Amino acid sequence: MRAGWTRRLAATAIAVIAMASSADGQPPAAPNIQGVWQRDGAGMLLVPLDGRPIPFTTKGRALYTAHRAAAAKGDYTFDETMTRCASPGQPRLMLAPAPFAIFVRPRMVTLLYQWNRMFRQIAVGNAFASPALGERWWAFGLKQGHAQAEWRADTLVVHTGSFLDGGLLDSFLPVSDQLELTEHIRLRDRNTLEDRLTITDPANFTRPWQAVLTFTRSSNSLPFAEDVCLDRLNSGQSPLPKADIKAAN
Amino acid sequence: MRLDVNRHAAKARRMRVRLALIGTCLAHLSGALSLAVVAATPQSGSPQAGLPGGVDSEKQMQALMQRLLLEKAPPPVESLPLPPADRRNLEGTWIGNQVSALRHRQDKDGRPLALTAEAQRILDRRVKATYVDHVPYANAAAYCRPPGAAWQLGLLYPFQVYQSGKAIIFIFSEYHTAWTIRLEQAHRDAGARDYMGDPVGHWDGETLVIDTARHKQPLWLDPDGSPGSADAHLTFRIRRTGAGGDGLEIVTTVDDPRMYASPWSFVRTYSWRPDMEFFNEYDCESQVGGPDALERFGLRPEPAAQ
Repeated sequence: MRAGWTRRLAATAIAVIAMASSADGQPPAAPNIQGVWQRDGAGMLLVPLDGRPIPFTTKGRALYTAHRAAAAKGDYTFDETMTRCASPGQPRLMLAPAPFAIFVRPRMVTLLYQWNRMFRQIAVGNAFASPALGERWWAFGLKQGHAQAEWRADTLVVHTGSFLDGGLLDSFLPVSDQLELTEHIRLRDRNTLEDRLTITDPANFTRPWQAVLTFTRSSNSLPFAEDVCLDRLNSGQSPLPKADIKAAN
Repeated sequence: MRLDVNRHAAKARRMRVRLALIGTCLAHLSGALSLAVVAATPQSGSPQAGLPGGVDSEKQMQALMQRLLLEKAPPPVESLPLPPADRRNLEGTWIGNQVSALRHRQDKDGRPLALTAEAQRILDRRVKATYVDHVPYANAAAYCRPPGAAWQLGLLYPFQVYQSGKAIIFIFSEYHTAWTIRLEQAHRDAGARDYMGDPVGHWDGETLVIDTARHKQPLWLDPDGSPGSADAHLTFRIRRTGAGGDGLEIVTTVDDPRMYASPWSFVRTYSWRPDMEFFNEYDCESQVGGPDALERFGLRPEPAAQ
């Protein structure tokens, strides 16, 4: 119960900050991040931007080590995305090797993924200032989290919290319900999108750390082919590519 | 005291949403409604269904749907965006504003439907499973597969529309489903079929006309299970209504000679609801999936057509 209130207060605080920085939540000059994007590279692992080892807590390292050891034996019971096509959550969904579309609207930025038809809603500005809005879901833990954003010049700064405990950041890195994910999403150039992640999760990491994902504007266009992960799984395909165990941190 | 009241309200709301999250993935709406009502607001006189499918009559079902509709009433005071002025712009968040028919017995003009013998046999079996046996059959939704636009548009959950030059996309709160319409293009005549069919659209004045064909599997057209074959052609005529354009009307025409002697149409209406634009996360595969899903929710596989 307390965690739920804390999250709601945090969301309200973020909303107030957003209101102060931008009256209508719109960027001063909207950068054209709309379109269809495809990830550069195919790795399923997050790599620290500073080149240093991931700063695990004792608990975080134990979970990570256990996940890797299980995967090395072909046991993915720790990962319900791989066993039953459950949502990968954030930021793992951004690693999927399939295109996604971005729609920018005044109150919301929406990402529509080809992967299992998932979508992500990011509230912009003060859209969440009223607790009467939405389908009343903010008291819940979420795989994708509760995302609130503001435009700072040409960058969309997204704060995401209210994560469910027990998820995964990538193929092996654990998620706790203390995870706070901050993303700086911007165009590096017209055809390159950058998502700079800052991961703060005191249960699993001793300090915040960063990773960067980049995406290329895709020649794919809407509509995406209908992807039904369960059908792929039932036909023997992997829901997501299996990570290279040797490449893991 | 105020805090206690708020806490109590928040707790009740959480319970309701939890139930909705679970219930709406059931194959049959009766399950969702009976779960939600029985568990969230137990009262004397309300249906006390012991099983998810435990609704004894269509009248009872209708009352439950009416109740669910009331729960979706808009908030009293909000400063929210108005719908776009351009009637060819459907973008925004919409939700059904009427009690949908549990079973279509007549078309929009009051003419009785002429079901083929095959369709009648399928429907009778589904109705018996739900209202007599109280163990409804599972449809695509219970297997976390996209259930088709007709089913999806009948749920009392919001959907969003996005428009780009070549496509119009409906994103549904439930089943993380996207229904993407290719504009001004012909149907694909070969290749793999999709659960949501192959929808192509064009504008007829201020009405968006969508023709959907080539579904991957047979359809349920309503909660009682009025059948549609995989080869059914469904045409959706969508237009904004009302002085401010804050209503949406969808006239669906079913052209399916295998199931119906002649094409027939039904109408659904929706309201502009920007207050519902942030959807519940619906992780069907996790929340209701798994090998024991049907048993957990009191459903059973539908026997193959005979």
